[in-house]
Amino acid sequence: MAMLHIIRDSGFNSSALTQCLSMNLPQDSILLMDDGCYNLNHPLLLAAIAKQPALKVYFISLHASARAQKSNNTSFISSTLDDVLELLFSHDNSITWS
Amino acid sequence: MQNTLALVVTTPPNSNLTTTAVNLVKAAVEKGVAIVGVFFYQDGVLNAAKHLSIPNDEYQTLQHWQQLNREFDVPLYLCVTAAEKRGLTDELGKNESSNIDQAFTVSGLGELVELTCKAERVVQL
Amino acid sequence: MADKTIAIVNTQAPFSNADGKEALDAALIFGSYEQATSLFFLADGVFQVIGDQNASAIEIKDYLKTFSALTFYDIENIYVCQQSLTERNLTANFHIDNIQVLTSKEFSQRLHQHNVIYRF
Repeated sequence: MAMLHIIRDSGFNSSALTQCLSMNLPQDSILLMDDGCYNLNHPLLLAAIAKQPALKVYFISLHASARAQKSNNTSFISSTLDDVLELLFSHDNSITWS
Repeated sequence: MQNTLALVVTTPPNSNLTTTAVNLVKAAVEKGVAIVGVFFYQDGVLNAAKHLSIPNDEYQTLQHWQQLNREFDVPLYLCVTAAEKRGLTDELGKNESSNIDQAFTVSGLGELVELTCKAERVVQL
Repeated sequence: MADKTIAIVNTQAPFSNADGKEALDAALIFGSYEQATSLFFLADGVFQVIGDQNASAIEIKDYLKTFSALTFYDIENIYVCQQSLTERNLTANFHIDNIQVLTSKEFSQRLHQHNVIYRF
């Protein structure tokens, strides 16, 4: 079953990101929300994407821009809360890491 | 067929994380996703505190929950055990019977079980 | 109402916040409503299940004792992440009996099989 991992904390200050990555399986997706957007430039997340190019990582563009966070990495998919609703229903389940 | 969603909110009203939850519910309502209920647990129960005073120029979390409840019939359920541990009760003295806002339905964890079973998807925020 | 499988994931140590207690309260209610419920212990959550703790010494009502009631609520699937134990230099010494220690991958695969996941 495909799981949506919702990260709401910065991986620089909490273990939300590492816990998420340790539980991530190939068909899963990651969604960066709230302070989770600070992970756009986190080395562990970038390493995970490099290792698994098919990994889909979404981020709430409004939450990222409010925090002056951006990325040139084309793997990240800019999203709205409307998209989040789509993601919730296109995945089998979700887990929130914060 | 209409999609159905339940939310569990565990963050307090003075957190921007709660604003995100409010906005997700608003997006769902606009999109036609049926919210079967929002369950407030842990520090999330503080959202129901009716005497919280937040400066006028700051985000009025309670007003947004009230609006979702009043205008869009979004049911708001409060875990009473978690609420009582945080000073919220509907069994106060004679002058005022409750410090819980009336937009919230006082319930228990059994309601969480109901919502979990009823909704196609559940998200914890 | 459809039957669903519920996972309660614990990621916090037991005493300094109420997460562990409130997660257990939720698990017991799901169990009492006869919902198929599993408990998962990951990261600092593994500190909830290790043996030789003494909560009353720091004036905490020992909710950890309630874990032994899980069987009565038909909550038999209790999983601990081996990697989390190893990282914390812990052995498989637990205060409840029916714990299954799984590798990180097995643990995750088991978690993925549940319809609804609550993390505390």
